[in-house]
Amino acid sequence: MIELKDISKSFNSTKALTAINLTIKQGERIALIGPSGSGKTTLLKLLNAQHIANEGTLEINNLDVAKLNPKALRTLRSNIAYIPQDLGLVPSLKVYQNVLLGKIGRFHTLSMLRKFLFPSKAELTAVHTVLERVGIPEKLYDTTSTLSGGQQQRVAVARALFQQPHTILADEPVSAVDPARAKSLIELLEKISIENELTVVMSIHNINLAKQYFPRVIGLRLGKVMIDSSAPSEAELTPLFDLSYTEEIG
Amino acid sequence: MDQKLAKTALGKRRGFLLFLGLLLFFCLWSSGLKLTSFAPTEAGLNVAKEFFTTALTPALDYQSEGIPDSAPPYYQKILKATWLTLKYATCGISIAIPIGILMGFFASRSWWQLESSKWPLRLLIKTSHRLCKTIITIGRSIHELLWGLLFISAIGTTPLSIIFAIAIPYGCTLAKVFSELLDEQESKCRDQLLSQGGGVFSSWMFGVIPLAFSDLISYALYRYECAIRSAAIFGFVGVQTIGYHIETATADGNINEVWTLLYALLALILIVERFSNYTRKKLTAPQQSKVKYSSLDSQIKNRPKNLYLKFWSISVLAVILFAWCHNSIFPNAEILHDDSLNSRLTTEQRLENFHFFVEKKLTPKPVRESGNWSDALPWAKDFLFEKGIEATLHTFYIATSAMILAWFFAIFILPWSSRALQSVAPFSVHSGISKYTSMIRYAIAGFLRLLFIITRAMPEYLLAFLLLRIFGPTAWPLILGLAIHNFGIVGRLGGEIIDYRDFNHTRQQLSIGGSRLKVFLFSILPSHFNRFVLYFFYRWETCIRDATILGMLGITSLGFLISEASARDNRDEMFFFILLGACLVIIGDIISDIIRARLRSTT
Repeated sequence: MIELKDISKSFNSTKALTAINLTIKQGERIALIGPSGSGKTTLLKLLNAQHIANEGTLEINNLDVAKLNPKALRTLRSNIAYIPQDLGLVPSLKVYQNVLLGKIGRFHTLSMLRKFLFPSKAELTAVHTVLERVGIPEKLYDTTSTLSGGQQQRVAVARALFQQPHTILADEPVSAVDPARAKSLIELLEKISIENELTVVMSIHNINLAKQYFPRVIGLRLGKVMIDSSAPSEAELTPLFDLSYTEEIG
Repeated sequence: MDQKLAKTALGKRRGFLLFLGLLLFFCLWSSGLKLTSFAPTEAGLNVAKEFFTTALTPALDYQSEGIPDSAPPYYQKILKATWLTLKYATCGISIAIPIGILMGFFASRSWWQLESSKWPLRLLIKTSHRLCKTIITIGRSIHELLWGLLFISAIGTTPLSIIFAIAIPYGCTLAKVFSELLDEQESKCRDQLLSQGGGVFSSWMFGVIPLAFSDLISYALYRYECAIRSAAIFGFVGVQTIGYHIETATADGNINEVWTLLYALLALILIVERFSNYTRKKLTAPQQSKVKYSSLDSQIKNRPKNLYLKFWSISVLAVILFAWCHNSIFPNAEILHDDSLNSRLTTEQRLENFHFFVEKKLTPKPVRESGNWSDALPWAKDFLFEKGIEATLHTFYIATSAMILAWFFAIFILPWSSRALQSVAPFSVHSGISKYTSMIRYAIAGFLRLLFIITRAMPEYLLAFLLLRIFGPTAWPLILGLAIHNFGIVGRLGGEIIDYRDFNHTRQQLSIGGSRLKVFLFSILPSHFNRFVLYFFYRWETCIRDATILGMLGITSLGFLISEASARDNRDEMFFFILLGACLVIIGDIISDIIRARLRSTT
């Protein structure tokens, strides 16, 4: 369970998030919506403990993130998968190497290096299994840069699955792909979430996809939670994207 | 050409070009060089004529009469010189690479995660970084030939002197470039791995190294090629590499033998260069399974195997091991041994010599006599004002004018040497030229690219040495030697910009009727001008370093004072001028670093 109590985050003089109070239960699927600069990425990075809040407390599985030492922080992150907008894949590596890196937080550097250069049959089998789940088992030995945008997204999801996390955070992973691919990726994440009771928090621009696939939609504007409902109405959504507001957060 | 259009395209760049032009004239004028002295004397012309007419008839046997019967066959002499050149380069670079990796790591900021570190660790990281940077700057500011002189003076004529002389400056140069390459990589992959709970080191290792890998390998192989050139010119200080035989053959007037040796050196460098290019391509080529198997077993069985990588790793290891251990493997193989470095001193004696050298020889004479270090200041001041400043300025003038000439000529030739521009369909835009015209264009472009390769392959010291016989004892041979070598390098780097980048604007200009030359001047050059300027400063810094040793050929500059002091066995004086040269290189390095950093941010 993730609990945010009066969380505020600012960068120098710019307020990115103000007094956020949220409780996210294990297995929930949440869509974060809001205009550019509304604080979606900052919130996701806070949930991944990449940033620490200036005010308030963030507890993940009853652990206060701000009080964790580096080792405990790494252990926490190794249980939370984060998929950034650019996917964060190393393009020159083979697909299986990128997927194996999902467990970078669980092993020592030398052990990781061994797996990376000389993977055992059991390790390859585990990678192959997650690649099968995302629909690209035949790409095991391909160099990641040779894959299409949609296939690379699937590798990023496979890496997240291989990590065996309790939560998947995804920052606009479908913003740069066509509607069909976007839908297929979200369906994949939905399926995985239901099967494994994974928490999924995804920032997304497409309101229809958010409403269709996510039981809970959180709307952010100017760093504040404006909507937190299962199916936001047009009346709720309209002010969220009202362009007459110009005072956006960077 | 439309002048108004030219002015618009050049924009602010005109100022830089004008500055370079004026700087060139200032340097030539200040170094007392006249354009009339550029013309070779009649004797020089005869030498040139004799030299170039023998190019196609390299010696296949000894040219001199009266060679004793016991002398080894000529081909053996060439093979031995080539092997020794390769051996010193290989041994030197095999030490330089670990130095480069270790120091490059500490000199790089790409692995830093300071915000999450406690202050003692932060302080330790920053101190080691600064210390490393300082060692790197000092190490590379002294030319390998000068390191050679110092080591030979300190520990005697042993192969280790030459190997260390190559390893130290090359290790430092590799460290500098490795750290820059690592710092230039995007941090997004590393950040991603950190977000998954990866440690600082492992996230850096798996998120940054793979991105920089091809460039790191490529640069290490390029340094190997440079090490071969350096090993060759160690012949000029008595080591029996190719340079030694070129010097003796030139002194004996055996020009055909000189050509044989030049071809041997060229072949060696070109083989390594081709090998490097091929290796880079093979190691970094993206792999894609041709047949798609979904079952794991069939994928493992049919996985793309990089046999070349295995072959490459084994052959590199074998060459390194052989270069180090050939004495033990083949103790009686005369062809493998260097007779010039046959000092039989024991390790204790060498250490004793080293202490004596540092304590007695390097200490300034007045300090040795009085024991008072305050006497060093007037001593240094005398040297500095009597000849040091003048020689330093000369070195600067030679390096700067050579670099400006090289840069202008290379850029002038680029549009005619580019594959992409001279093809039948430049940048995939149909040009309508006839088959014969296209063949002529290809031939010219091919010839110019070959010129870049050959001039780049020849060491500047060797070029200056050969040109001295044609132009006589002026600074022109030094300038031209440096300029010719750098012309090849800038030409090649510039060619890579044109041939391997995508130019939509160029295509657009061609599609509305622009000629090849016009699209080069108004599309390619303006859009990549900063990169060309970046190459200028990258090479200028190296030119200053190389110019300090060219004076050893007998022309007034720092190198001349160094070799003169060395000949008189005044090691303190020699060391003083070496340090003066190092200061000049460090200043050049700092200026170049600042300008390049600014240019990079806008490139």
